[in-house]
Amino acid sequence: MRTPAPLRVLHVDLAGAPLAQHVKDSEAFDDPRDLYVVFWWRGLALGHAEIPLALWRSSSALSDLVARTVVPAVRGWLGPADDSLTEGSVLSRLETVCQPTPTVRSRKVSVVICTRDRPQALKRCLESVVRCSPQAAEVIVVDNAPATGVTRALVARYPAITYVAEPVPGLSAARNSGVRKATGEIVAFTDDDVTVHPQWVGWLGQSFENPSVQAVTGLVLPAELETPAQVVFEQVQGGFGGGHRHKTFGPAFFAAGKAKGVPVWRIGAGASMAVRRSAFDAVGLFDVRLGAGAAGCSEDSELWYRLLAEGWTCAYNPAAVVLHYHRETTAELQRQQMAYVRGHLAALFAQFSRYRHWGNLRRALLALPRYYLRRAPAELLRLAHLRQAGRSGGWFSNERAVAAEACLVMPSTYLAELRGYVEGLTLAPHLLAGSYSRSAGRQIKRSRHPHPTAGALPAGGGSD
Amino acid sequence: MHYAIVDVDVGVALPSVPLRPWQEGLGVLVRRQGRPISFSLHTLPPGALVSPDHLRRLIMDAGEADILAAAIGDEICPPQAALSAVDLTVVICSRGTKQSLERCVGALRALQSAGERFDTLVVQRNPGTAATGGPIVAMSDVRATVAPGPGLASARNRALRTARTEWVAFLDDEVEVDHGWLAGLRSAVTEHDDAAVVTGLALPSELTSKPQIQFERGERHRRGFDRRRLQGPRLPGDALYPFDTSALVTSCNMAYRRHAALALGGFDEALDSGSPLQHATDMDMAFRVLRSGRPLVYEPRMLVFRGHPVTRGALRHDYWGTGSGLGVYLAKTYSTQASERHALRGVAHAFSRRHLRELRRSLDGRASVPPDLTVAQLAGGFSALAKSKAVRNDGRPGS
Repeated sequence: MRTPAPLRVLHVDLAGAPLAQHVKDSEAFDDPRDLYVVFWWRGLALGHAEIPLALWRSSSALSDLVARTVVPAVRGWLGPADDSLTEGSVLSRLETVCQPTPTVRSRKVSVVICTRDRPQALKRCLESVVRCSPQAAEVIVVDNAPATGVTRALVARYPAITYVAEPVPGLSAARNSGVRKATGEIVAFTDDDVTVHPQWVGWLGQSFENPSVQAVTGLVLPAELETPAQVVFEQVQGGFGGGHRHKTFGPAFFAAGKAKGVPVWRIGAGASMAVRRSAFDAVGLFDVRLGAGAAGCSEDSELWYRLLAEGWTCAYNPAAVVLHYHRETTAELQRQQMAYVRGHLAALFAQFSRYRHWGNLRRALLALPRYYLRRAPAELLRLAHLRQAGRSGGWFSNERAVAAEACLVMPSTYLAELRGYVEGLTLAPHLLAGSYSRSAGRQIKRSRHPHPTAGALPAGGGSD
Repeated sequence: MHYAIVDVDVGVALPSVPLRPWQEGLGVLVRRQGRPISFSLHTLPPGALVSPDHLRRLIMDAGEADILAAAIGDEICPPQAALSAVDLTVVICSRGTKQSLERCVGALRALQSAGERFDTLVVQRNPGTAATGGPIVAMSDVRATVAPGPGLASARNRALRTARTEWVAFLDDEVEVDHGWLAGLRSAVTEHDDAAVVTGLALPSELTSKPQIQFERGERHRRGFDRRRLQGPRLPGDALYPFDTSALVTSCNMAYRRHAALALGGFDEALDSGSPLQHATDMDMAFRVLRSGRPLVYEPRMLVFRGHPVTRGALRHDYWGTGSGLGVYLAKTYSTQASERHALRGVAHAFSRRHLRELRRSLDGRASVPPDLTVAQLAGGFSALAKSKAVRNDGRPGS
């Protein structure tokens, strides 16, 4: 069992200082936290690994671990190994591919960031977006049903950034408002709780070289793993990470998954995505019944579903990297998980209602209940196990006792997910009817818990 | 079933390999600048002539990732130029025949004639039996002593106390060291000046029967070609660490820092009682080393070739021994480390789950190990646990 003790996120550029130097630098660390290390070759994230600090001591043993970690990505970037790859330098060949090609730099990308009354997070995000090279053609901040004027005041400090106010609460409504304002050929979306990599805009643009690609997603890595909730989200619940290899989701992917519900959530995360402007004209905007502030989430994957259903292709580009600040507290994490499940269920119903693809219903009404039933005994065992681990005080158990409290968030997260499932079920009549009635909206607003968010909006968005 | 074995280097032109009419396959050891980086088995038509191109394809199909990883590893951490010398005694705890012992010593002599310096000490565990042809007569360059009993732990402790060097390497008499064996140990010691144990890789010296090939296909012997350093209570992705160290420790090929081993009280001779369980002795020692906070280093360059069990019965017995060794060791740790009991129960569960899953896979024909071997290993483990008083009484002393 993995222990969700906090981890130090470390970025190591293999093109920079030798590994031995990074090992030496670690001696100055002031606390014994273990490491979550992301390995880069300049702008390319090649892999990541959790490494106990005690093992971050020998560069020869580490070099083998690092090599093993980055091999899949290196193979992805360089293609199948030929004989020459066995000799000489392998990594330095990445030099030729580690930047978006210059022809793409001229492609016009509009970046849309939706936010609500979180000036500190937004500032961090905007700082990273304006540092992008190549730059975005325009940056649009959508202020979603703000309670105060802090966002407007912050954006006013950046003359190049466009401010748009969207009074209707909800992430989908806000994103749609950004799309209507955008003039670029490509509209990239990110959230205010991330920072983007300097080449993020360039790589997203590059991925549209293929004309059938209508939407592109990118890699989301944790910006920090300081709290148990953040570690649990990243390691136990899988985080957002989509891996370090290119992926294409086309008609074959759609056809293969149709019977059981196409796993569109695997395509990526809304915190790092871009869509061709023309695609919105073809399949419509984000569904305002979904997303943070409405059903909870999945407004992004439901859009991808529509694109795939119409025969288009989505792509995942691991070079388009953003760093995401996960929810810090257990309560926030649970609200988020509840929203994920509720939103996911709502999206399945919406997808079914639009296309009559029965796989969606099958997943919603058979696969998901089965999944939660199967998880139940393990979650109960985990509770019992942790209670005991907390009592025994061994060398090995000690480590666990410290984490026991943190682990307890997992069973309660399970309960939160179950609750999300039930709430999602109650939305079914409205979503299946093809319209999101006012009563459903009110029902969500009246929910005792403030509304969780999938990304841009703070907890509470849309509930007041 | 008979496979040929070929030893190639990616930096050198590949040979063409003619198979004999009775050879139905090929085991390929791939090195990069002398360092072993991959070993793969290939079934081929008997008597085939494997051209260099064909060999290259076989190597790349099976080990492309290994070869790339080795190239990248060398790129981000170039091999050390200067290796420090190791003050070393190589101890062979012998139970086998004179022939096997002579092969083992012969390979060590070849290292010495290449300029390496170390002492060799043979500890005889059963000098009286006819199989060994009587006590070994000390050779000019090999010291010999007789173990106080048949057990492995007592023989090793005798060696620890007899030797005067900083490092003591323990080899089984059935192994032959590779020409890079000592260089591997030296590079590990140079890099990890705090290491208490260095353990190496074992590959087959021959593949002349079906059980030997099955043994090699079995994943549990694949400790891999990545150098590793283990220290402290956590290893991400390994639920059995640090209790089940069998994936990290090569019993027939390990070196201990003598003072560290003695400071821990040496090998546990209590584990010698009943049938001598080499596996339990080694895992117990490795656990105690890790528990004391010292690092354990795995260095695949410290390579030996060993003869795998030739008959199916011997192979089954080997699996049974691994399981029962783990059981005995877990039972001992359970009774001595009261504070770790909770974690140990988790390890026993994880071990059973892993093997039951393996059994299901082998029944479906998806695993490389036939079901009877997995059953033998599980049975060994459970019988050892069932026999243990400590576990039956839940560790209460005196009951």
